[in-house]
Amino acid sequence: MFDMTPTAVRLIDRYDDGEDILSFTFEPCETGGRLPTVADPIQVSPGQFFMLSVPGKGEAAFTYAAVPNQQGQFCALIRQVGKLTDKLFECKPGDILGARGPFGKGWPELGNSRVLVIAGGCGLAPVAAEIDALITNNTPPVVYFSARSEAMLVMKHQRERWRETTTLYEAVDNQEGASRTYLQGRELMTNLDTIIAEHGPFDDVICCGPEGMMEAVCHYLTARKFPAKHIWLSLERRMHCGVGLCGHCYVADDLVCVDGPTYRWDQLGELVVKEKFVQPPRELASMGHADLATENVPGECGSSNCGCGV
Amino acid sequence: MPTNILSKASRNRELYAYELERPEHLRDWLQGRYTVFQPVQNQTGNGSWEEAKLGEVVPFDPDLRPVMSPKSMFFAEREQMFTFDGEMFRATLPRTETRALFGVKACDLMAISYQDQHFKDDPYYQARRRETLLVGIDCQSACENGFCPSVDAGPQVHQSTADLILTPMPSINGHTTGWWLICTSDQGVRAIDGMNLTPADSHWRYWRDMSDEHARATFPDDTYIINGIQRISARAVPEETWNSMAHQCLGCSGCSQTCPTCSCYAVRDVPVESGFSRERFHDSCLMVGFQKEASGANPTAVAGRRVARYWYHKFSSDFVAKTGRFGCIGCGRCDTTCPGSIGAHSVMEKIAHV
Repeated sequence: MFDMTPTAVRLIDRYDDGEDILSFTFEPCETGGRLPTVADPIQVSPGQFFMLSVPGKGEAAFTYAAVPNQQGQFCALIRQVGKLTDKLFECKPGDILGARGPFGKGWPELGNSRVLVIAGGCGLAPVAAEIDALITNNTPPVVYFSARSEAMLVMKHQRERWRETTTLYEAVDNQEGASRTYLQGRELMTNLDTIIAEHGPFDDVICCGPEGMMEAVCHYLTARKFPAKHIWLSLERRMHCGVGLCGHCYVADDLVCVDGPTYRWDQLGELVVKEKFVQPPRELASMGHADLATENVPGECGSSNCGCGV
Repeated sequence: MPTNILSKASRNRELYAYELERPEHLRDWLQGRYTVFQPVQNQTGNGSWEEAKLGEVVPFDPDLRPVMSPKSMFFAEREQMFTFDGEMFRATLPRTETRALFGVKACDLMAISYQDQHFKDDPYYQARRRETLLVGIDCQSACENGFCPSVDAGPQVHQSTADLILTPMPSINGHTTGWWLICTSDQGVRAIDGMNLTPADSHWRYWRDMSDEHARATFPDDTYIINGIQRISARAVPEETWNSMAHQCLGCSGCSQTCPTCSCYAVRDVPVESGFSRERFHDSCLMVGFQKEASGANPTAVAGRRVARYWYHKFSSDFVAKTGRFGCIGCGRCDTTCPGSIGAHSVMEKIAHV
């Protein structure tokens, strides 16, 4: 049976980490010698998410920006966008909230492959724990991180650390007033060309950001014969349960909370197509007959194996 | 075989049938151990599930199918999940009583079986479900808007979906001679233990199947439903068709409310004396905000997409592959309810003739 009741967690730290964005750290209130699953480092893997309850306002899904440490402390990067986060942003260290998890599928086991991480805006949060895991695994990835403006370049502490341990490219759309020079964020394709020329080829690509950006990245890569089976994405959907019951997070016949939130591009592509109107290829559908009939052209059948005898 | 030694025999998974003069005899017997709910014609002229009070003489109407399926008896329309007192979260599982649903039709039983699967790990649903005995009844003719044979849900009760099944003996020259009571589960066996019913002659199966054939023959032509299912499964319905149907959707969620297989819910926090409690309540994928995220992003902002979703979930072979059956059980309640006339019949008819 699912336990739909949250575990009490205490907010132990919060700091500004971008425009309207705070980084939060939580820890379980009482462990009784054993960490609850939501805060257990053995149970949680990068890319998974948890449901955070803000008493009186409800519950929402947040990715683990950092997976739990041995004390059960874990982090989330949260933007103030609605009633629940308004209330959350009023919370102070010591306040008690609720958490359930971990839920969903995390990033895949990538072994010793060369990984390129591409993140846009708050999309850095779902990949951050994976970047750290790859660094620990001695296979530091190349990271490309892009945001609207310098103020939206989130996770500054982590990025400082990653500058030492990985190859980090940073880009912003709006360079105005920036404290230093960044890559031009709107030049996604050019930037990727540069990165691949300097550090490619890559075995796997992990990408998270706005859906438009992820789609652009996938098309860019597949157009260059990069196998779709090695592109990994993370989706965001509204969720009310995290366990496949409430129905909100559907994409075709999948539920993002249990089948995702991480997806392989070829599998996600299949799902996306399931929601689209599909017309069979015209020639195959008609086997040549319909066209011939309407155009009233006598003669050969268009297909060699349709069995019509023409 | 007398009923009181049945328990042992039922482990062989054979069906045992008994003769029953009137369904009321079984209902009254069950009242000794269960709180019994049955379809009752209420003051509005509609059928609803009402508790049969002990000692009250209410005849059982075998043809009455309530406007609402018994869905909310397990998946409550609104229920508390837990409370928070400022420090601790405490689960509030429903208090349950031993209940019997008496006279459930094949379609509604199939829906319960579908929901049993969906909510198999849901503690709130299961707390109610495992305390409930299901007494099914075979339908003898098509009901208004019903198309259960097209989606393999009726009119005969599938034996795996009920604990006990009532089926009328054939009516010869207009005289109904009685009922057979078929026992399909251990829980059913225990429920009738001690009733001392007379075992039925072995021909009951033949007559039951014959009645099923008769009942099936009363259903109108369903070609467009089959055709619609094929088109939805093949994703051959153009976006414009969904969009034009969406003009008729008022977003009232009546279809989801009455649909016995709809299972979506949302949650909200409600202040209580000691802090707050979390409630969940039925939701509908036809609501514009169903998938809307806090950021304002909404993958299904277009109404046509939401209408397409609803029927895709009910009829696509994608879901048959996952759940083992269609999401629709052919009760036709959506057609009865929808103020915009886009229930299953009208939708499938449109799709079939695109």
